[in-house]
Amino acid sequence: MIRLERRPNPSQVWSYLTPVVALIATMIAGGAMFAALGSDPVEAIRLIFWDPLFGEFAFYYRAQILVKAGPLILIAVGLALGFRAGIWNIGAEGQYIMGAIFAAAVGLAFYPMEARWLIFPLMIVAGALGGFLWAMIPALLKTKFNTNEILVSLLLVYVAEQFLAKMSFGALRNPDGQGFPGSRNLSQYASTANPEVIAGTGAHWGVIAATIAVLVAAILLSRHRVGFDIKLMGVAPRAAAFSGVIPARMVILCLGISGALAGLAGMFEVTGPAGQITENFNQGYGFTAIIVAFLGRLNPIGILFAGLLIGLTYIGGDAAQSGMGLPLAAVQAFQGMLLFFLLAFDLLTQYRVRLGKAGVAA
Amino acid sequence: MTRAMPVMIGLAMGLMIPFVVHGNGAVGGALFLIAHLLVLLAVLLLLRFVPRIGRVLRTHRPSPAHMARMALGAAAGFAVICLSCTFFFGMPHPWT
Repeated sequence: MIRLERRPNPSQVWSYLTPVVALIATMIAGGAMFAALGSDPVEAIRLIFWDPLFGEFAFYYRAQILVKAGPLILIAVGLALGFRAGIWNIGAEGQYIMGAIFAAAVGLAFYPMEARWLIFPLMIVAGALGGFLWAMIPALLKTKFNTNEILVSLLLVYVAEQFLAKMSFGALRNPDGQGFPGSRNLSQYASTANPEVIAGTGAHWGVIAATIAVLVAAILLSRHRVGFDIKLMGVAPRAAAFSGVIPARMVILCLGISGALAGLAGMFEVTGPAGQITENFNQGYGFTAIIVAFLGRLNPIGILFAGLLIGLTYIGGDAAQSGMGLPLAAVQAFQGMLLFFLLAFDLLTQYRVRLGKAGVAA
Repeated sequence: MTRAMPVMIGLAMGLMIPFVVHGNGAVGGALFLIAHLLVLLAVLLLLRFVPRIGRVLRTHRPSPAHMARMALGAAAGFAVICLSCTFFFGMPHPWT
């Protein structure tokens, strides 16, 4: 019989090495999967991990990595704060969608007025507000009725997707679009566009916001009383309650921050890379950010690197699709493997595998 | 004064902005004046019946943090009213 036994003193070094080992295991298992699909595994891994950084077209791919990593990092930082407090917001995707819709609606309300100094900051507030309000639904249901925030936030993603479809076919549809669904292109309207701040780097305002969020979260968690309360509530909720932490307030704070950051990510995406509200605007960033948060060990600095790594797999995956004809599902499975291996190795860091009969309780 | 109150005051101001902006000239000015007179009247009425408000007003001192919270509330209120304009009255057509 196989059983798991908790390690009395889990290795700190092994805990930090886990993401690296998980990455290597993903490369091996992913390579085997690509080989089973009839592709050269070494070539596929090279296309995913090496070419976007050092290949012939690296100058283009590197900028794209930042474009992909920006929203992932922004969402993951917010999620990590909640996860550390034991508050599981799985619906960041819905908050991301609502942030984008709110921001687009506010921006388009001013069309074609030219007042970037007013409209763009207002859209930032609207984006954060959209995500915040959407996150408040599971937060208030949890604090008032003790509902499960995992289920509520997850199911609200599908509600948000329906709302997105409704908006792209209805209120936000471009009146000059000859009946095609989708809003006006926000990236072509000077007051709402989110261009690169430094040309050629891919660093739009979303990337800058993500960097600021990482720094603020790192300071919050290491130097601030609120960060200490968040960590304490995750590790020892009873001790946190004795020390004066109010759980309901913490639920609202953590879900509010993660919702607002997810909404901000949606805002920066709809004004920049995506450009407009369409039925298929969302690309699963809210779900991928969960992988990023765990890959980064729920640490803001770790999340920065994890976001860049996942951004690399997105861009490398695209390159592998076009270069080797790999199916999209295989690339997505490859990304899923990363979380699987990470959780598996995490488990082995905390527990050891024992063979034999279970002991008798004393 | 609690930390939430300046946000609420800002929110109310933000919700009023489009009415003031769209009411050109004298109408906009009159709306602005009437709104503030109404708020003043409401506060005076409340002072008569809720003594706690008097205590809050006597002890309150404006601060940069108070202004920042009010500005944030105003931005949120303005965003909400713009949002409702788009959702309920549709996309604006270009006027230029």
